[in-house]
Amino acid sequence: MLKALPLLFPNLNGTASGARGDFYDKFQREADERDRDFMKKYDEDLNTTLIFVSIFPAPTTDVALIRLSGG
Amino acid sequence: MSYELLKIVANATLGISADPTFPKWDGPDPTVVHVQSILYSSLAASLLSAFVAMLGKQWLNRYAQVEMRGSAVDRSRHRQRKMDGMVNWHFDLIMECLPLMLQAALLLLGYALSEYLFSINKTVAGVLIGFTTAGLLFYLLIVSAATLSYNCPFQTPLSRILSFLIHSDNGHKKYRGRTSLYRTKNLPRPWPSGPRSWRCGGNRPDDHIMVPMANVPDTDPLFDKEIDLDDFVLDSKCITWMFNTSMDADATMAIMKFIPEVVWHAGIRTTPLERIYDTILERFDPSSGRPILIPKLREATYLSAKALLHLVIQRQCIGNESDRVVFNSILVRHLTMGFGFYDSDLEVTLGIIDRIFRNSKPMDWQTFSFTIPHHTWMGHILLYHAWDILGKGEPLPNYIREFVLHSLQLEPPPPTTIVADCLFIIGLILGIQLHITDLFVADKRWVHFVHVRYGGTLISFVTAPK
Repeated sequence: MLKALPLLFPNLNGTASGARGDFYDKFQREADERDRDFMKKYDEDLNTTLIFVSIFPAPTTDVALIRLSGG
Repeated sequence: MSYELLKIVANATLGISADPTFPKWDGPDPTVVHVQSILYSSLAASLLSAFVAMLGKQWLNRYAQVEMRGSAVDRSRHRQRKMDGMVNWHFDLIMECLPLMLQAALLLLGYALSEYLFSINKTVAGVLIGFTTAGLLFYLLIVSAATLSYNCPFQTPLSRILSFLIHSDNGHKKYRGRTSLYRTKNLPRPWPSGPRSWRCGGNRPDDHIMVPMANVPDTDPLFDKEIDLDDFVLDSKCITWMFNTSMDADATMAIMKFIPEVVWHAGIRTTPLERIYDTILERFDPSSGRPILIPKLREATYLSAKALLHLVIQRQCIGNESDRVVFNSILVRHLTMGFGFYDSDLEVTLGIIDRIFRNSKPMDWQTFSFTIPHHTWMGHILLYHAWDILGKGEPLPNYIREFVLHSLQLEPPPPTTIVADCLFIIGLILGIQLHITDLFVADKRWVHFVHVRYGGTLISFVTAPK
């Protein structure tokens, strides 16, 4: 009886029909992969920026402070 | 000069000899102030970019988060929404401008140091100026090279913006070729509003599109079924995205299977119509003058043909200008495909495509025996077609009439869904008007309240739901 249920009421079986479900399964797999690439790319870009920014102000402030105190 | 003037004025007005020792400025000299301000602006720029970079990390994390708990369908749609947001708000541009700020900071530092050293020691300054100019020249060279040639590996954000602005090298675009055709998403569309239109739901104002369907008379919908048109918009975006990303045969099959499930209403801006047509053409062997289907691709061809017919008919009902361009481009290069000894489902689908794009000899309906899913779908889509053609005041094509006759004469009779569609087509021929949303309903047996305008009178009757 329980096995026959999905056959009798195909709409009970989730909201997605077969084709829709299939498509979105594939879509999600593809999208996950793409998103991972996307995230990785921008994350690395941001890391480069942050590393540069962490080094850059040191010499700048040094020079600026020498000028202020040295007159 | 002003000091002398001041002394004269003081002598004249006060009558006393002013003190000639004027207080001397003992702060930093103007060069130093200038250099200082440039140095600090450089520092500020670098700190600002650090701030934006930090925010950027948070934005990325937010994008990666899956806050929806629904089904795969809901999550995918949600993801597509976020992706569209990224594209519409030019996320990548902001991210790419970040290094630009850092480069500016570096340039400012070089300039400030050079200027300061120049006031102290010309030789040391010469070395620094030399390096700074060399760096600047190198950068300019790189930017101009990358702007002029897309294939140049030294791409920088600036060069990408510049080449976008001047479109100097479009060589790479030819690889995208046809894809760019469906990316015409921001076309201005002067929708006429008024009683002949229906609305998409949704919360954001840009989702509210007044949608005219050609020649819609003032009729009330027969079905009170709720249809979320926004979901179909998201579906179509997912399909377009998938088409552009994946070349996989499996993925293409899944897309083709899915396309007939979507209602391609006028709120959907882009359709993969031409792409599907190309996919079908690829299935045929063009070597002998008339296209011949490669046998093992039968199933794939059937699905693509079904998707194409579904899209063509639904988009024809809308009468959109950009669709018409695509129709015409297909019309020009269409080769008759519906000959051959395939099974009924495929042959009739290809046959109707042929008849839409180019008339040919009548089909032999007596020999056809359709599978039930195909037959159901045919009834559904041909009703759209009949609605469109009759609404334009043109005569009903033979294949629709023959489809109705064929379906109603079948022994044993086809499923009631198909009969319902056929009866609706007959109703259209009789002049009973249908609202466009009625066509969206796949199973038309569930009419609760029927208001039918026939001639000048409104007839209302109730059918009991099962």
